[in-house]
Amino acid sequence: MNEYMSPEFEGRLHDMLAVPDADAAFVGSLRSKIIERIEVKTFRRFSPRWVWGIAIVLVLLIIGLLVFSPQVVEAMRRLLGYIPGVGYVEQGPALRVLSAPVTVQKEGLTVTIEEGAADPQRTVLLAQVEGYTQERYKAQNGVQTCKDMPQLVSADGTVQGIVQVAGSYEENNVLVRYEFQAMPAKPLDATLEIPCLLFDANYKDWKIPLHFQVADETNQVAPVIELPTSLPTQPVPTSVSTPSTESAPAGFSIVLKSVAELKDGYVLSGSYQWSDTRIDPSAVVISDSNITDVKGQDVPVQPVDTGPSADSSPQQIPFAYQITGKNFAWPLHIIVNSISVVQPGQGTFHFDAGPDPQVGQTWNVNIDVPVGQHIIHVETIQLTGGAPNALDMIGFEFTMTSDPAVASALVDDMNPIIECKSGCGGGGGGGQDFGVSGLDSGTGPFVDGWEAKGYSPAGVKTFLISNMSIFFKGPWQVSWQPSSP
Amino acid sequence: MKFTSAQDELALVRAAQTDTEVFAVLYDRYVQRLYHYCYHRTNNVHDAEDLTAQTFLAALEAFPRYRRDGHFAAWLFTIARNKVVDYYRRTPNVPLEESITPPSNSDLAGETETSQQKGILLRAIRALPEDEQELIRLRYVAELSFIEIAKALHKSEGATKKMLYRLLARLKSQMEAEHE
Repeated sequence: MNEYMSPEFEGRLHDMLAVPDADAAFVGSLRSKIIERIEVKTFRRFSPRWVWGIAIVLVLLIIGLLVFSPQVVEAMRRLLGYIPGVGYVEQGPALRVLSAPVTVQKEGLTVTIEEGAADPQRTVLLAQVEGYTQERYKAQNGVQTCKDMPQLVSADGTVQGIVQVAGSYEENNVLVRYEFQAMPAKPLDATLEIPCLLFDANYKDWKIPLHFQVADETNQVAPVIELPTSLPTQPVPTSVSTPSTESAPAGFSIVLKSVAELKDGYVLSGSYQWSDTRIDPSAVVISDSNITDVKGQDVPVQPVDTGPSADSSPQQIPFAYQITGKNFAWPLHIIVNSISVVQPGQGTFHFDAGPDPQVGQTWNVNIDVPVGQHIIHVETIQLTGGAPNALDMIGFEFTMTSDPAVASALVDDMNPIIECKSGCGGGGGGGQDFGVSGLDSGTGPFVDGWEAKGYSPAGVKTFLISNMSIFFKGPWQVSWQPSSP
Repeated sequence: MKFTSAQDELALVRAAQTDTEVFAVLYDRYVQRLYHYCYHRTNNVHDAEDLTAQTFLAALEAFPRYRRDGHFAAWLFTIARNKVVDYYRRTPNVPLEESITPPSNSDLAGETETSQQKGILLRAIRALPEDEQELIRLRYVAELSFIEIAKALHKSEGATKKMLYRLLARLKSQMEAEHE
């Protein structure tokens, strides 16, 4: 990544934004309070009553391991549960689910909270919005006319802030998944307050009363069973172009960790892992993977929220796949055919768009740029901008090719000139990446581009190519079948 | 015990999850940065202290469930950001835009010389959309790394870097234009 901003300006910015340190008395007092809390926790953990409790559990566990069937031991491992649509939840008395769907109608829209679950980590609500047109949804996604966030207010007045909200348009309805902070264990009543539905300023002030009940384990929550985590033998990753000394994620493997059996399928969770601590998960993309039955037929799967992870290694990408159906030719194979990894190399090239370039103008430049061990061929550069909802945004789009090992790369102007006649800040200005795309096969062109408010495209530019992503081929594979298919 | 690098911090977080007393070491490491961030958001010593305390106590409670992904700071500041959102809900009369007028702790001699530039810069920052102001705060007030900011904002590290550097380029050219 280019770091073309001067350290001097960054230093000035840092200094100008400096604020006074916290008062030493406050820091010391808060530290004491935290240590006091820790001591209370420690005391609770090791009080005689708890020691007895731990001892009894340990004895039962040992008896279970020695005497009882594997099913009993598996049952004792039920720390997590899975609710379709909601995801992984923490089992136990603090787990609550929405007692019944709730519907509110207003201004031509019908909002139904279909499902909800609250555990000690988070509160998840699934909503369906009827009557909101697809055209409006698409337009609204581009420009949110209201940015006020929803919140969940418990009956005792406790406010749970939003952690995440995601929506999709399916079959004439908008499906929304709200994730809030954890609710207190009691009370069981709460109100979902939505200042603007779907961030649309035309649909304001929705208040939806909700009632939760303690989860009925046998009914809605599927138990999550841990799987043995012995590592299968895996091939050493090799670059698609050989020979290569590029950063490959040594020790790459697929590890299955748990399974939850649903009425109509399974949820498998695990992680893609590697041992090279230099490679951060953000640099790795699982570019080509699938799940097949033993005959090689693709199995219908959908990625779902991975939920909490007890694993400590940062060299991993967790996954969870919901498999629809139970009648397969077992076992199933999770296969990764190739992965891509961002490499540290960079390269630059010059380009002159002339004194008065026009939006839509395309230049066939055909420039070869060495980046690391590869040549990135910049085929075309196009001046883009003037989109209906961002008329003053302008930028370049680069179409590139390379050898089959290269998946993608980013291009940046090393010295961007920004001319803001009436200020660049207000009104939603700012830079925007509009896409990096590479083909999984590594045989086609890939594109990077960006637009910025007030960007001046004229004259000679120096562009930097960085974040080149390289394919490494597998396949890596792990197999699984239920204990009683 | 002294932890300095990201790897060391991961070891520290691991240690703290089995021995909660080590949490105090994490407190020492982040308390000032967290306070700076909260001060910047509230422009008020009392509220900044309150939010700092709330954040650490919430983090302590949630710590056993923290997913050790090597980015403790991102997790901690995500809690802080939620606390700030709650704060503005409770005190709706304080517009968010007014929060970015921090008093400088720079020396008085330099104050006069830079006050004009500082005013221009602060005005320019105040005019930014909230997500861009937050990017500035997380980088230059909270002093988070790019990967930590990326985790906190649910973006890729590359996109975060690009966004920030383009934003800085814009600010810089705006300052230069106004200075002329």
